[in-house]
Amino acid sequence: MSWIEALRERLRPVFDRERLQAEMDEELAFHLEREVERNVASGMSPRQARRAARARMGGAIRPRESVRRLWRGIELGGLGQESRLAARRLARRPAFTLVAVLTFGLGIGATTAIFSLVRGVLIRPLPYPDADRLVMIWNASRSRETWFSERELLEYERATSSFERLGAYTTLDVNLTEDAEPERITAGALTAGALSILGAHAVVGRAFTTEEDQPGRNDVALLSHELWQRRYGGDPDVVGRALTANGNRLRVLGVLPPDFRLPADYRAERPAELFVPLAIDRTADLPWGSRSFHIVGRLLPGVTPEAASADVRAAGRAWERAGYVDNIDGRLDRDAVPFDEFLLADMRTPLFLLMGAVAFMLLIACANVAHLLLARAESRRAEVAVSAALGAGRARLVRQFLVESGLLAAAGTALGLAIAAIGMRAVVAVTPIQAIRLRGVELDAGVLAFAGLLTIATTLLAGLAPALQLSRVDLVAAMGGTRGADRAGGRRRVRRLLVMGETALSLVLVIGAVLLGRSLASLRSIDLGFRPARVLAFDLALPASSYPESERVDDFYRTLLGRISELPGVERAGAARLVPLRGSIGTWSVTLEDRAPEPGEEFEPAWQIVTPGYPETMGIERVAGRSIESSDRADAPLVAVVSRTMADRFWPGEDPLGKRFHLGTLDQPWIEVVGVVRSPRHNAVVEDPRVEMYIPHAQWPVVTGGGVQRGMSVVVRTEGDPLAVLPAVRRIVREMDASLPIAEARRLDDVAAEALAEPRFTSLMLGLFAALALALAAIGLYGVTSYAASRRTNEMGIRLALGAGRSNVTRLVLRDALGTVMAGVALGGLGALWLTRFLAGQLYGVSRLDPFTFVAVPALLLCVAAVAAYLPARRAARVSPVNALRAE
Amino acid sequence: MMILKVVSLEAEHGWGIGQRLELMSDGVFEVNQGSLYPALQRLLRKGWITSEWRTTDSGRRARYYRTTKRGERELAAERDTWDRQVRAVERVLGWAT
Repeated sequence: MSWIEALRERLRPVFDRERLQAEMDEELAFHLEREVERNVASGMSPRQARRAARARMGGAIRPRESVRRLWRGIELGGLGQESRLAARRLARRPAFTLVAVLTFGLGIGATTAIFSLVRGVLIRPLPYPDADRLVMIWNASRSRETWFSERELLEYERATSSFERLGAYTTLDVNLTEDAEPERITAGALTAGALSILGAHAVVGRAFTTEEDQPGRNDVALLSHELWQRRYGGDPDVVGRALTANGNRLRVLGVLPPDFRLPADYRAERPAELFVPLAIDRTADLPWGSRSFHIVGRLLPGVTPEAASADVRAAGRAWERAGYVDNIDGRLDRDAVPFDEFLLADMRTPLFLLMGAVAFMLLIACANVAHLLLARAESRRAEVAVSAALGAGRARLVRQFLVESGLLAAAGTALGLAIAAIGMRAVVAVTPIQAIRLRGVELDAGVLAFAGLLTIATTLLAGLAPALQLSRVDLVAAMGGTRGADRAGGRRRVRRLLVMGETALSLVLVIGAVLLGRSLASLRSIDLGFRPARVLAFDLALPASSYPESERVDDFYRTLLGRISELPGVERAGAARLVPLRGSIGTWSVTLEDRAPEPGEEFEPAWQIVTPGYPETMGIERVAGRSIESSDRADAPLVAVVSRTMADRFWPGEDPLGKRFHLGTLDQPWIEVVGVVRSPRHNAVVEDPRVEMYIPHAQWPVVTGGGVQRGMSVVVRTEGDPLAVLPAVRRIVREMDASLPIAEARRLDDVAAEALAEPRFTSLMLGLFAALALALAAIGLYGVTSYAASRRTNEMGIRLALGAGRSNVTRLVLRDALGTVMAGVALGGLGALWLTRFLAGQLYGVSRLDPFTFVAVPALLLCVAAVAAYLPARRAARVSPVNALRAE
Repeated sequence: MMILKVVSLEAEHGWGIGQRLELMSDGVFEVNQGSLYPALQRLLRKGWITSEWRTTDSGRRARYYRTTKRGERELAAERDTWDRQVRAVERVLGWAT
C-alpha cells in the first residue's frame, strides 16, 4: 500500500463514514455466521451456537463501538464541543481575552483596510469595457509627454494594424454662461472613436457618434452626471436644452453615467464635466506638429501592448524618414501603454509600502498574542499534564490551543473589520490620492475572503508555538511543582525569539517612518522661489465672443488689476498664464541671436505670460535689470524678463541684459532681455528650478504673431487673510462683466500645501503604523519581562536572602531582557539596510541610509525597551525574600 | 505482531485470523474476538496491512487482510526486537537458576 492509499484509509472515517460502517457490519455478521457454523458443527443447537458466538465477541455491540471510537480520533465532530470549552476558558479571563482580541483587531483591521485600498485602486479593473485592451499612445515617453496632433491620429489610423479603434481627446477650460450663475469648468473634447473606446453610454439621451464629430455638426454636448445634478437639478428633460460654453451655443445631447471619467482625470484635480465632439476635418491638409491631444486605442483581441508599441514606433519612424516629423537626437519615442500602467504607476509604490507596513504590524500583533497564549499556557501546565497523563493525545492538545487562538482571531477579525470599515472611510475622506477618492473602496466579498485568510494565518501563527510547546510537556516536572517549570529553557527561547522578531520588525517600520518624515521635512523647507503666504489666486478667461480683439483683453486685465490694487488690504496684484504648482507649464523653443545650440543642447524655456506687477506680487526676487512695466505695451520695444537659470544656461559667463532671442525657429521679431529673476519651481516642489521666460501680456500676440492669452490666473498679495478680499474682488469682476465666472479662488498657501499632500499622506500613514508597531512591541516586551521575572521570583528571593543588592537584581532582569532586544535591534537594523531600498524612490533630501535615522531610531527603541523592561525588573527587586521563598 | 504474522503467510478474513491465532499458539491464547477488529483497524491505519473483499470457498463475501511491504518490514523489525528481549530474559532467568 502506498502512502497515498494509507492516507486515504486514514481519512475514510471523515469522508466515507457510511460505507465504512456498512463494511464493518457485514464483516462482523460474517464472523458471527462462521462462529455459529463452527459451534453447530461441534454439536450445539443453533440457538446455543448463536449465543456462544455472541458471548465470545463480547456482545454484538462492543466491537462496533470500539472500532468507532478508533475512528473518532480523526473526525472533526468534536470541534463544536472544543470551541464551547475554549470560549468558556476565555470568558473566565476577560482581561487577557480583551487584550488579545484588541491586538488581533488592530492588526487585522489595519491590514484589511490597506488591502482593500490596494484592491480598489490597483487590482480592480478600471471601469472601462475591455479595460485590459485599452492603451494610451505616448509620444516622447522620456519626458512623459502624451500630446499628439490631429494629423498624427489620422496617420496612425492609416498606418497601424494593432488597433480595433483609435481616438483622440483633450481637455480645456470653458466658461458656462446662460440661465444659471456663470461657471468655469473643465471640458473634454473627444472624437466619437475616443468616446466609444471609453465606453461612454448616456444614461439620459444619447452619446454623440461619428455623425457629430465633424466640423459644422459638432454643436452638441454631453453632461457629466455631476454637472447635470448640480446645474440642472437632475432634470430628465435636459436633452435639447441650449447652453453656452466659451461663447459657443451648444445643444445638450445626453448625460453620462456617474462613474464616467477621462483616463487622465483619475489623476486630475478637476475632472472634465462637459464633453463635446472633437471635430477633425479629415479632408484638410492638417499640420503634423500642432500637438495638443491624447490618443487612446482599443487593441484588437490577442494583440499585446508590446506588439502595438512596435507598431506605432514603426509608423513613427516612417514619418521621420519621410521628413514629416522632426526627431531631434532620436529623443522622440512612441509607446502604447496600458491604461492602468499609465494611471496607477505612481500609486503602486506608496500603496505597497503601506501594505508591507501593515503586514509587519500584523506579525507583531501575532507575536504578542502568541506571548499571551504562551504565558497563559504556562499557568495551565499542570492541567495539561493531567490531561496528557489521562491519555489525551498530542493532536488533541494541539487542537485545544489552536481552537483557542482561532476563537481569539475570529473575534479579532470581527473587531478588525469594524476598524477597517471606519479606517477606510477616514482614509478616503482625507487622502489626496485622487484614484482612491474616485475609485472608492469597499468591504466586498474579496476583502472579506482576505480577512478570512488572515484569521486562519494568525490563528496558526499565534497558536502553534504555545500548542507545540505544551504538548511536549514533561509530565513529571509539570505535575511535581512549579520549580521544574523553569528548567525548560526551550520555552524561554521561543519567547525570546518572539521578542527579538518583534523588535526587529518594529525597528524596520520606525526607521521607514522616520526616513519619510525627514524627507517630508526637507520637502517643506525647499525654497519655492516665490512666497505663497498671503496670496490669493484665481482664474479668469475672457471669451473671444465678447472680447474679440487682443487690445480689449489687455485693457480688461489692466483695469481689473488696477481696481483690485486699490482695494483696502491689498498690497499688489498681477496675473500670469499659469501660477506655479497649479499646473504643468510647457516649453517653447527659442532662437538666440548670438549662439546656436550645441549638439544635444536645446533652447526651450518654459513660457510665462505676465502682467506688470506679477513677479512682485508673487515675491519672485529680482536679480538684475528691471521688471515688466506697464509701459511694455504692444507697440513698445519687445522685452522679456528671464529666470537666472535661463541666463546661466543660455549665456554662460555673460551679462544676459541686452541679449536678444525670438520664439520658434522662423523669422519672428527679436525680444530683448531686460531683467533677471530667481527661478521658481513651477510644476512640482521637487523639480529643479525652471528655465523660464516672462513675456509681457500685452506683447504676447506680437512676439508669436498669434492670438492673445485670454485665460489668466490673477494673484493678489494681501495684508491679512487673502480670502477676506475675495468678496470685494468678485464684486469688481461682476461690475466689469457679469457673465464672467471666477474659478479656483484659493490661497496660494493651500495650493503649495496640497502639492505636498501625497508625501504627507504616505508618511502620516506609515508613521501611524510604526507608532502602533512600537507600542505593540513595547507591550510585548513588558509582558515577557514581567512574566519572566515573576517566574524567577523565588530565585530572586534566594539571591536577595544571600545578600544581593536590589540594584543587582534589577540589573539581572534588565540585562536578560535588553540582551534579547539588542539582538532584535541588530537584526532589524540589517533588515532596514536592505528593505529601505524600496523606499528610496519616495525620499527627497535624505539618504535611505541616513546615519541620523539609523542611530537615533535604534537608540529610541532601546530607551522604550529599557522602560518596558525596567518596570517589571524593579518589581522583581522589590520582592520580599521571605514571601518569595514562601511562595514555593 | 501475531496478527501480522498470520496475515503475512496468507490472506485471511477476520474469523480465520482468530482461528489461526488460536491454532498457532497451541490454544495458549484464546483470542478475545471483541478486540480483534479494532486491532485490525489500527493496523490498516498504520498501513501495515491492507484489505480487500473476496468470495470465500462457500461463496460468501468476506473481507480478507494481508500484509503490505511495510508490514513485512515492521514484522521483521518487531521480530528482531522480540528475539532480543527473549534472549535477554532467558539469560537473566538462566543466570538466576
